[in-house]
Amino acid sequence: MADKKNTILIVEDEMDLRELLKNKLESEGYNVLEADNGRVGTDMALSQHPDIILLDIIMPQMDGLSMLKELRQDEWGKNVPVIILSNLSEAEKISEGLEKNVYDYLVKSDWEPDNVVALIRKKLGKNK
Amino acid sequence: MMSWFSITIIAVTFLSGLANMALAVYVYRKNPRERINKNFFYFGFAIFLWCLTKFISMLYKNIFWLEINYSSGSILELAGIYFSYALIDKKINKWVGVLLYVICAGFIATTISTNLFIKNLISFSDLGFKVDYGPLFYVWAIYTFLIVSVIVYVPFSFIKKADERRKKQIAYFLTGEAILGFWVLIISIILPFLGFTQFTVLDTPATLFLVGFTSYSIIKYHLMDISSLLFQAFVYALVIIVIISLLLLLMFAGSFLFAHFMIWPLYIIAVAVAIVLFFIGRLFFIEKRDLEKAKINLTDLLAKSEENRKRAETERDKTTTIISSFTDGLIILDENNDIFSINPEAEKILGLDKNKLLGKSFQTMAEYSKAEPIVSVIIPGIRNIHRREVEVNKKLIVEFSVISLTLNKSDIGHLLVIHDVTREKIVERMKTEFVSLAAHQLRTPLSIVKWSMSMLKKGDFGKLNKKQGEIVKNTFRNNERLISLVNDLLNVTRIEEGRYLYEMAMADIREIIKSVMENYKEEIKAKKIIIDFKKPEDFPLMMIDTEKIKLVVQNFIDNAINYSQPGGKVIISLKNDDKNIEFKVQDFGIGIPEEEQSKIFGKFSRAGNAAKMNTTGSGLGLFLSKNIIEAHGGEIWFESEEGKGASFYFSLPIKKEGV
Repeated sequence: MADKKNTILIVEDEMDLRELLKNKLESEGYNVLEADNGRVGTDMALSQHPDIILLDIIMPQMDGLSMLKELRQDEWGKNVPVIILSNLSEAEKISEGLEKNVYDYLVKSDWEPDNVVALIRKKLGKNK
Repeated sequence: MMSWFSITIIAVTFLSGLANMALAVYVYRKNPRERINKNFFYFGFAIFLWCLTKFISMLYKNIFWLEINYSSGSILELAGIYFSYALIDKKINKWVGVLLYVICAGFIATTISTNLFIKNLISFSDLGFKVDYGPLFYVWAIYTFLIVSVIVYVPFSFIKKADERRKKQIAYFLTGEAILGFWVLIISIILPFLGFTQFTVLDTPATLFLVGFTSYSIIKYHLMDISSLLFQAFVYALVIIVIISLLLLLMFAGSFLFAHFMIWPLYIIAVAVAIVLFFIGRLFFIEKRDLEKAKINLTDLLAKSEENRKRAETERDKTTTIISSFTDGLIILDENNDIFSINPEAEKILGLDKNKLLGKSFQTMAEYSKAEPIVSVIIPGIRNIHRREVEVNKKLIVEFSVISLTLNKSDIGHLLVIHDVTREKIVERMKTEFVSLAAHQLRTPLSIVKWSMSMLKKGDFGKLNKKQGEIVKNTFRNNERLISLVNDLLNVTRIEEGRYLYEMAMADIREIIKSVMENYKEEIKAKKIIIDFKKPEDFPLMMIDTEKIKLVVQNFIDNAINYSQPGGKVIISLKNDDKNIEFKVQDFGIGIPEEEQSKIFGKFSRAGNAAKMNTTGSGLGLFLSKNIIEAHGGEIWFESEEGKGASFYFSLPIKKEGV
């Protein structure tokens, strides 16, 4: 674990889920930022520069994919690791026509919080 | 030495007799049971006898044969009067008949046995006998006059009452008979009365008139109900005889009057004319016969073809009615693939204009926007197509089939069946969309439950006691089941929407099996199932979608465990023959009832006994499996007996490259 605590931004409109994740991540020793839609999420990301972003797709005001597009246009946002956590499946993801490999894509119901943490750890380790 | 004239007269007499006889025999043979035919035969035979005896008497020139000739004249009168009555379908009173017979017999007896009829034969000339008659001759002459009058009068009086056809039949016959009658009266009765007996040889040839007119009546008006081409042939032969005979007779009568000049030239001319007439007659006959035949054939043919045409028309009308009232659109192409027929439903569905399209090539239909997508499917080559679905536009989805029409092994065209499925498809799509939406919506709460239980289970919110731990674990497991049901539903909707995409990559199927078995470790342990799986040592890598094949393997193993009794055995095997691999999962559980076996790969299909034993199955697993395996070019099947277990198989072709 690094000296400085890593910061994770959770962009998720479903409060219960957000709470669970926050709980889990904080117990794992991360700083957690929360946003409940893409608009707020973008602002928060661009001002606070979190180390990793967990992003839902279907959200009010601005959806996850639009936020991702906006993020990628930013100098800092270009390289920030993004894990998409969605309930849409792979097929839907592909039909959206986004390039692969710029993010990880998880179907929420197929994953458990432990697995998500493991993935985050792996991503942060690689980025260091 | 007899003169030529005498010889001719004798010959004509004989011929006349023969002609009458021939006609009589012919008429009789035609219908022997009919009274009129029978009587005509007697009549004709009597004429023949009369002519024959005259002929003999002319050869022998003695009183005896002359008497015989007069006697046969009496018989002729008798036969004549009977025929006249038969002709008008009336009977002679029995006693009158007896009287006539007695008179006839009396005349014959006295004529032959006494010289009351003929006293003496004075001389013989070319025209006949000069006879010294006795008193009986005069009695006979008067009697004959009366009888001939009756013979002619009876049919004549009937004519007025008869119908048109009978009238004509009888009129012609009667004309012949009357000429004969009056001729004989003049030659043989009136002239001898006046003292001229020497012309009597001329009476018999007059019978030719009778033959002629009777024959004409038969041909033209079917006298005695005779209608036959053969008869016409016969008659023309007779007519020729009559013509020749009469010509010869006239010629010699003439030559006699001109006292021997010009006999030879006239004779030659007469023969020439006769021959010409003969050929003209024959030609006329042949032509007429052929014409007649042709006419009959033609009439038959016309009648038949008319009948056939009517039948064909009725058939065609029926077919047309069926085609036009069909609820599907029908377009018929002929053997050149030109448009032969379009029914109203096809016009309606595809917005076609029948009148502008009939007879044109089927490609012409592409000018109509709604028909264009169909034409473009067919254009590469017309072939049989079974229920192809085409989305013409947002508001129209049609399903069409192309069927080759063959008749007696030859291609007679194609039939396009067009079925408007827009409504069904829209409803189906809405259903699929609804299921997809609902399933996605379900995933969020399911994920929350899953994550909560997961964190509880792992002690993120503090350590749980044993009971709590067990409950959380059960909740988690049941939640997993729901998630997998939702995933199945989503996969089904994707298959239905054609969005079930495959990501092919080289993979080791042994690893897939291993990882699935790993997932089921706890269930296997809980149910004490004995798994028998010998992992093959060498196994080829294959081009497959790992995630999806994993679903199938998982489905097979899941079913085998679920439908086995606790402590049961499950045999898993994996084989390869370098071309295909075969995966098999065998259990010894409840099996599949025979009546359910055909539906097992259908959507939401669950056997009755399976539903009782395990309520959690979605009935989607095998449906998905079949789709997945078939998308990989493989086959899926099973063997099962109720109560004894089931074996599920799939085989996949070993491919090294992508699908």
